[in-house]
Amino acid sequence: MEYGASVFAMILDWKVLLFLPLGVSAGAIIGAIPGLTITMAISVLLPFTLFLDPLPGLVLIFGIAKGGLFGGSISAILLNVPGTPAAACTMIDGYPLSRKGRALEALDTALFASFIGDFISVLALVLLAGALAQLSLSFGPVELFALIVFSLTVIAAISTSGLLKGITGGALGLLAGTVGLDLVYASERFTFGSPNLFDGIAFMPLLVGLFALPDILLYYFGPRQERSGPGRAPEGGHKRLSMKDFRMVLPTILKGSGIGVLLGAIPGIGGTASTFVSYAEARRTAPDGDDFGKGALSGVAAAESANSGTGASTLIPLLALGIPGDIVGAMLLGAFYFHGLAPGPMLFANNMNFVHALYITLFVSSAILFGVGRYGTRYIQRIVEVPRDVMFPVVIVLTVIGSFAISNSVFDIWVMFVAGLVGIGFRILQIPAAAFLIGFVLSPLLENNMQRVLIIGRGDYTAFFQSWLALVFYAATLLAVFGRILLPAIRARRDQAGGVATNEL
Amino acid sequence: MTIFTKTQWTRRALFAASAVLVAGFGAVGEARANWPEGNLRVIVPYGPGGSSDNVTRAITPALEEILDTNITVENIGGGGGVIGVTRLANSKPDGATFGVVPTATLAIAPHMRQLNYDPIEDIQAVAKVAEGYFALAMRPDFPADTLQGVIDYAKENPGQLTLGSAGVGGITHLVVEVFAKEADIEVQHVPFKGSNEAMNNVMGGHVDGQFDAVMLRQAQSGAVKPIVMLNDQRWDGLPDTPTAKEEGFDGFGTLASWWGVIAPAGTPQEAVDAMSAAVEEALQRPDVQKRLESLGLYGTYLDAGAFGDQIAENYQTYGEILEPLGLSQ
Repeated sequence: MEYGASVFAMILDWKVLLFLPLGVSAGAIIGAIPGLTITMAISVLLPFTLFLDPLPGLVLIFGIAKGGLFGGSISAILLNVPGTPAAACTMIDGYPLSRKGRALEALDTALFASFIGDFISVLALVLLAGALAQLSLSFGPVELFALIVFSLTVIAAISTSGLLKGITGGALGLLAGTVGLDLVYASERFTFGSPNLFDGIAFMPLLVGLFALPDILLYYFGPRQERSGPGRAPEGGHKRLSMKDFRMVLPTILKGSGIGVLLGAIPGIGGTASTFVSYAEARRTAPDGDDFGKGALSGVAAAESANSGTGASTLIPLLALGIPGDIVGAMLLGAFYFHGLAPGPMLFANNMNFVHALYITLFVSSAILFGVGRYGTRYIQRIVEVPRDVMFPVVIVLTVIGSFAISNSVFDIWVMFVAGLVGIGFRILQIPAAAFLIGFVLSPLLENNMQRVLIIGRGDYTAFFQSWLALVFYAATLLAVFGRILLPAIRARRDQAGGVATNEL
Repeated sequence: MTIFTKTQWTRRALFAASAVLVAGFGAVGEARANWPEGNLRVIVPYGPGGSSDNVTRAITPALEEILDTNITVENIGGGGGVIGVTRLANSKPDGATFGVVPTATLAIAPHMRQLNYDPIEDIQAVAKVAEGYFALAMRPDFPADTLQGVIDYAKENPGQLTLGSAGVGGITHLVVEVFAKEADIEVQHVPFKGSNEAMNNVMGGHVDGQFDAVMLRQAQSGAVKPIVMLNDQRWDGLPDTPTAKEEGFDGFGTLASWWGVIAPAGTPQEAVDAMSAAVEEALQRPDVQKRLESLGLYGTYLDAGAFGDQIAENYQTYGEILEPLGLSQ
């Protein structure tokens, strides 16, 4: 009883009660604005939170992180500009849905997926932290390499204009991902001597340029027929997600949450890459899998559940082992030490009431996220009704500022414009930009882990197979390649021979 | 309301008077007797949340108080830190622009590739701020417990010893190469993206060990096996872990990871001195010390001259280490 009282005394602090909704709402807004990142917000706020008690400070930071994971999807769905990198995958299906007048349904799906993903993530943190932390340690370079190989199969799945074009896009993405200094020798690749490219092509400018700019550039400078057509998304977009559709996406959400939780617990993968793994898995099994890339609710569900699934699970290695899973975790680690709380097994032994208070506030903030999102989306979705002539200039300003603000770099604005031209080129050639994006995101993970495997194995290629986890991923890859790519292709060929013309290969 | 207006006018009058005074000083050549004149900016050549950003944000609130001015922290990331330092080197040396940088940007990166700044010619050292603890720790089931044991293991199993680092060309990589050279052993260097990813791989047993500050806390909880400290003294948190010198291994020399305040070359001496003194004062404050400690660092002030000497010395030594590895340009 006394123990319970001490836990609740911590939670019922007015600062905690104020910061819970404040953090989540602020995070959702910051996440929705391209160029303002969650990391940036937390880095600026962190020094101030150190003067608070540990719990209110952490509540504020977690709230922002959580709200941000959902907020990024709002601009991804409505504007085709992801507010955060982790929302890149949401955009692939979210924006087509919004163009079809189903923006509110897409936002609802994103919200349910974020809420459930977040909830499961907290649940996993509370119940399975120890086990998941141990599991995350078993992911070394070999396992990660195999996992990324599996994730690349999703490129075939979203190649709506033909497998060959999808693979071309993916290969170009992999190639673009190698720009910058190489991991082992720091040799410059495709940098043309410019330090601006040492760290590779900046992700947000590329993303924004590739997806948001082509629409805008074609609208103003394109052929006439691009300018005609509806000036705004079709009416009737006020329909909320139906129960039937919710039931359809629920398995995807649950699976995506699980994937997010697992991958979030492994340092070095991150929210963005885990959305693509979830997307790859959902494409294989979702009922509307054939619509992926053209506006499938399950696509949005897969992406958002996975990125929110990483939300609390990045705390697992932090709390259980003292390993920060990402940059926010690294900042939090400093905050813990500042307050004299050493994460790791000792935290659970010495500060159990603090840990329990933290858990409870994490659950409460999940609920707040749902409330804020449910209420907020009702209004924010009206953005799609704004005419293009008003909307596009605003989006242009947002994208330019967003590209610049990530690292205060004018060069990145040029990156964005070049990416926009490349995006138009992709449209003309019908190369799916999403395939390029996936290749680009996974390229460094694939290459760096391959290099590590070879260094540790001293050049011996059998090193790639000396792990049962890796073998499982390779098997899943083979299944995906045969079951989802080769068999349908052969079947299509046969149909074609039978006189039905298809355009699959 | 009238009182409010009145104060406002008085303030403006004061402002005008001070402006005239300042202009007067300028006319007689007493420029910047009252530095800082306006707001300062501090360039951090990495994104928010990294260790350089953390060090900066640990000291800037204290500096703002001491200097009675506003400091804007500007994160100019990219290029492994060189873009931000280039921007700093090209800034007007008017005493309003400073930067907080780690060892690698000045003592390592300039050796590895052609850069648009010279770490000695174009940079004015202002103050050394902090140094990091540095320890070698191995995976928990590694068969040796001492530095000599690790060396013996590497000699008995040539090419088997793998040591992780936070990335090629960083201080955590450099120390691996120094170790291999000085102990005359073969080490497979496995670069990761950041200290924590490397640490995860040590704890999971995917690589054998790592030289890093992040290992200390893990060693405390027993998740990794501490071997030696590279610092001159033992760390309070691990009183039983010897320093490399105590173990009779002198090969690491003055190798250390530090952070310091720099400015563009040509910055007025009084601005440099005043900023340097402010850093010294800030480092004596308990909350700043506590913040640095929580980041795995400790404040080590050096004035502009001594810090400049250390940069020059490190630049020289690290060049000699990188050359035979084929890592210098």
